[in-house]
Amino acid sequence: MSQPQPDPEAPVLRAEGLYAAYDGTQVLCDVNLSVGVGAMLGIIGPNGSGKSTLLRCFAGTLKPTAGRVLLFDTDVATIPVRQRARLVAVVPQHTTTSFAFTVWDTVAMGRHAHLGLMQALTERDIRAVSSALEQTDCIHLADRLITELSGGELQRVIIARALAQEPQVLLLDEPTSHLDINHQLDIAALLGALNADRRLTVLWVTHDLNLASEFCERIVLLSNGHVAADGDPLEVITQRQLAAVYNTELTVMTNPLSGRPQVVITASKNEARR
Amino acid sequence: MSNNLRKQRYRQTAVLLALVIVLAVGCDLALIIGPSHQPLAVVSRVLGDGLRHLLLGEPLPQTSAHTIVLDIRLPRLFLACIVGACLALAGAIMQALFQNPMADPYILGISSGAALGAVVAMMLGIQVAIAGLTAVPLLSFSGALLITALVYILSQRGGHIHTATLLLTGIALGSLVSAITSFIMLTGEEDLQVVISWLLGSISGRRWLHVYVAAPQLLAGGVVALVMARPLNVLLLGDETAMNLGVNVHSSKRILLAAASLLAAAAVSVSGIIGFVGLIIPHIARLLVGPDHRVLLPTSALAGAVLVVLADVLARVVIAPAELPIGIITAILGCPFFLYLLHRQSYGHTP
Repeated sequence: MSQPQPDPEAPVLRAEGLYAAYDGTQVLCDVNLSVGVGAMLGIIGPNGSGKSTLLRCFAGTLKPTAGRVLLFDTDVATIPVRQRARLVAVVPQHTTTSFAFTVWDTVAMGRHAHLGLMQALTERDIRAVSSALEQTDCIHLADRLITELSGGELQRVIIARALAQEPQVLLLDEPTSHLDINHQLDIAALLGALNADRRLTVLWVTHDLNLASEFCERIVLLSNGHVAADGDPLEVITQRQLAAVYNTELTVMTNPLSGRPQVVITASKNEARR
Repeated sequence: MSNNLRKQRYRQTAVLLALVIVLAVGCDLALIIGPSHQPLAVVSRVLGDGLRHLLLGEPLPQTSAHTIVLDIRLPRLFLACIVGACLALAGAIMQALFQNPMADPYILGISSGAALGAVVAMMLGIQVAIAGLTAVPLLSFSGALLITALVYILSQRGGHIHTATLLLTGIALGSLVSAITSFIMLTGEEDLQVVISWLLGSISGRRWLHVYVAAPQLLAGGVVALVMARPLNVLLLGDETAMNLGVNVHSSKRILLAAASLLAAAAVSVSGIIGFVGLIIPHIARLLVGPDHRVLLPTSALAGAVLVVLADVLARVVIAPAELPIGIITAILGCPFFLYLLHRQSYGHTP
């Protein structure tokens, strides 16, 4: 993990004493986090640990009950939505495809924040859309209807829509959760490439500990709304920490090919569950 | 632009052109057909006279043909176009905002409010008139907007509006208001046939005054709808995604709800409750041109106008010399066509 460290002096996103709640139920408790330019950050943790909530706070769609999120040193709550959408793009966990837009039109919606109300796409917008489609290897899908796509194709199109926003930060909420292993790797590699080639800051919520370990330079482990661990994969993906947070017996080994920690599960260790 | 996208644009243009042609033919029929047949030649001559009168101030010949075409059928034709366009636009906006294919222009209590207003006016014999407008259009318009405003206010939660709450409040309040309307109808002594015929919708006997009242509302609502067409597309993706893409979700929704309510109230106040147009036309338009509201809204408006104009022609012909309420015709015309399209094409909604 001898990657050049992002400049800690220039955080893109910073959570300061962040508390968040839904209908009075506390979800995030005093989260402090600073994310530098060009970071590739994985956010892991059990169900209900506050991963998606943290992402929504970073996106500015959920108001914290206390504390604040700073986006380039500005409180995200004070940034107008249009301007925010030009800085931060979000790939949601679920995408409804009940309306039969073409892939091109769907990705072009990523340009909304760059356009005036009645303004048609300019040359620049068209270039941004095409480039987003190319980067995600979706250009051949441009004419298809999103209602006809497979899960993997749809997820790439939604990432393309986020890229068309030309954001500085990309937030993803379990982008690989309902994909097979081939498409999971596909998406993870795409995120890695975007991060490496464009210095795009990527924050990625995932349940896949191994994928996070392989592709992220830094991992934040959430537990009951707290940050339980924060560091590079070797520091975070440890047997002791994961067993405590996930309340599960599991084994962490080293991937002989990458040298990164990998989580291995065995049936025998979990026999007590029956 | 790729071939398929180009094809899509061609198709959209072709559909719009076809609708304009059908509307033009429908307008001719609406001026020709009626209790007294006016041949096309007469209609054209009278329209020419009317135009010269309007533009050059030439005196109008006082013949019965002039009276029938210019004072009876032409305002009625304009009104049919306006009402059809209003209902279809309002329906398309409501369906998008509620992401519900069953949504129609009346979903926020417009119809129940308008019905209460109209029934109060008719049954209690209220005699008010503002600028020549009688009690029925005035009270139905006020009733419609009043109930919609009430639904809107009651669904507010912490300064935000949730479409699900809005929908349910509309249904709940709508039933209450309908119950009151039924009570007034049953205890009143007036002839119920007049009331029922209004409730089914009719543009019989409407004059230029009604056109002058409804047209600016269509213009205002239509302009707002078109300006907001792209945000409306993005809103289809859900509130949170729309927000992440840079849409001011709450203010956009408010503006669109206000526009749709105004459009629907304008239609209801001059024509009663014409069903099916606002529900079916947006679906038909979506099947023809796709879900993009920048094309869908104008297509809906045109198709709505076509349906109501044709329905009004039929309403005059079917049981002549009497007239059918127009809502019966729109249902009979619209429903089979809709079912046909539904089965013929794969529809934009996943099952």
